[in-house]
Amino acid sequence: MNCLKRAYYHTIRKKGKTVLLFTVLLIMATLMLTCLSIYSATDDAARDVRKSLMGSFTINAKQLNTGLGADVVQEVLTIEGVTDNYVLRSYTQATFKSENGSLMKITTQGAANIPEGYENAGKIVGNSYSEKDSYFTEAGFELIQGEAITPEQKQAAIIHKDFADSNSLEVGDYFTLENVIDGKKSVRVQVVGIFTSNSPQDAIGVAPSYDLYQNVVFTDIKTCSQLIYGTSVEGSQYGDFYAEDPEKLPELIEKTKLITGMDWDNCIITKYDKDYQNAKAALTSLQNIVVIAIVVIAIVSVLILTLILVLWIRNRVYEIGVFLAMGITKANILLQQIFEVIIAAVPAFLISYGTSKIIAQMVTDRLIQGLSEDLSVSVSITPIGFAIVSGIGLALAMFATALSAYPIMRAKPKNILTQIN
Amino acid sequence: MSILEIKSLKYAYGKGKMVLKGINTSLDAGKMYAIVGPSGCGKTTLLSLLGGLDSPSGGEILFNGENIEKTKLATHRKNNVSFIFQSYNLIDYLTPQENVALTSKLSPQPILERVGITKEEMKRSVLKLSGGQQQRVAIARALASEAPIILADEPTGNLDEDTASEITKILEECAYAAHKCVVIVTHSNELAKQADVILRLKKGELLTESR
Repeated sequence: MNCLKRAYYHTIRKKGKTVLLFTVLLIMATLMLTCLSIYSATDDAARDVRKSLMGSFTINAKQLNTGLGADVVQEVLTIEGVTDNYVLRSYTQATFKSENGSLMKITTQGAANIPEGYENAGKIVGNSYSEKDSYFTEAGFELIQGEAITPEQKQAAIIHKDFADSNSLEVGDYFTLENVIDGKKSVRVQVVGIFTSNSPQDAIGVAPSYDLYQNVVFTDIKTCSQLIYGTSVEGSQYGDFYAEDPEKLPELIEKTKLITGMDWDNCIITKYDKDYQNAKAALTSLQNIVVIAIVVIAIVSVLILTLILVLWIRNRVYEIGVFLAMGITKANILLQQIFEVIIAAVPAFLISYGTSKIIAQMVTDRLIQGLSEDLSVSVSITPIGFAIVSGIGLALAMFATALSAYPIMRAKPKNILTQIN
Repeated sequence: MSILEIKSLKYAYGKGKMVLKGINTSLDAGKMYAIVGPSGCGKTTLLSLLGGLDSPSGGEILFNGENIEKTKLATHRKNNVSFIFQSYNLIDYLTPQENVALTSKLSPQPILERVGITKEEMKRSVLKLSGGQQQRVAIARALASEAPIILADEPTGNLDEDTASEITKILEECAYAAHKCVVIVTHSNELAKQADVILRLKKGELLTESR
């Protein structure tokens, strides 16, 4: 009778032992597979975080006489890993003049002061995409008429509803923006949109008159550039660029600095990846916990399994002695015991595929939601993950079997038989 | 030629007491031998050495002229000897049939019938058999292995008088009908008297008494 057949008979006739072994192996495999799938899910979550929380960097060229040139912007956009998504921004103040040359009315109520020379001036926000400006994304501005500023528009402006009303301006009307200090720098713009502000004025009572929301005018970047730098150049004070992978931000910034034709010493490049770093740190610590859990589960499983098998093998000394007396080799006896574990392990591992998926999804939902409510991760157990856990599980079970059998297998057959007789 | 030859066989426990002090004898197939002597004289040790369960401290045991140490003890145990123990030592998760089939490819049924086990008993758990029945199964297992030597350690020690007598007859059959060399360690004078040769161990030396 070969060892596989003996193992089969032992497994089916020692039901109590088989059920206990099966249960231990099922728990071990379920926990390990659960941890592995959580690890894999957090890996997916980390990838999603990298995509969803795109890191960005801002080039601050305010100190330069010409700002950030359009040619440099194009070169930055050609760097691999920089997305097409970008925003150019500039800020200045300008005096508003109507088509007939008269000064236009601004809101002064709520202003801390009206600086001299700024009696008819407001803040000019040049933006390649006005919708992406923080006034619209964070300060509650809302376009209620017309269209937003885009790179295609030239000499266009969107104005506050109060400013439009007090100066009888409508979409399609023209007015002139004039540099407060240098009157020669002026641009005639057309109103393409009207916005309103739904949130209360920021820094009310502290802001000067030109900073009041009602006096803010959004223009295209070229218009703003003409107001700041004059007609001969086209540049912007700030450029926001987005990375496909926040991990590569430092590398992208280094590549940006290699672009020639810019005085990088007088530019400030700032990296924005705080959200990503926070999420990454949380996910990394979660993954570390999961790895520790896998190791602890493996060690505890081996200990428990070895303990059970050691207790059992004491009762099997008799059987081992008889087999040895029959000329069955120690290796063959050990192989039988390994087969017994494998027979219990195979169904245990197969069932663990289902149990671990359920548990892993429950645990992951709780853990990931704890990190970010926006993240949703679907837990999946891959065939490779299942094969890894099954392989490790079997190896651990075999190791535990060999470990428990070692003291008896070392003994001489006579000593074993003397012990049992 | 004798099936087993024992030449200057010595055995000591570690560096201590010498149990066997240079034993010489030979054993033939078709005969029954009884090893007798007081407790602790080395009877079971001698049986273990003949069965390849342990190695001697000196001397050699030849099976058909070959030193069993050279042919490897596990091979000797597998091919040349079969054991019968006082406590039967059947594998409890196997039926009598499966116990007999452990080391043999022969059909277990005729062998079990030969030692008086019924077809119904053959399929039962061995734990549900009486002591006598279990020892019969143990003998059947020894017979099925086709080993030419049967080594029995107190085979009737746990049995009542009638059953012991039946077992003795079966062992005699093993020697005479199956032409095996049957070596029995026993304290029983009744069983020893049935042997062709009595090997008496005394103070580590062997005295041979032929019947």
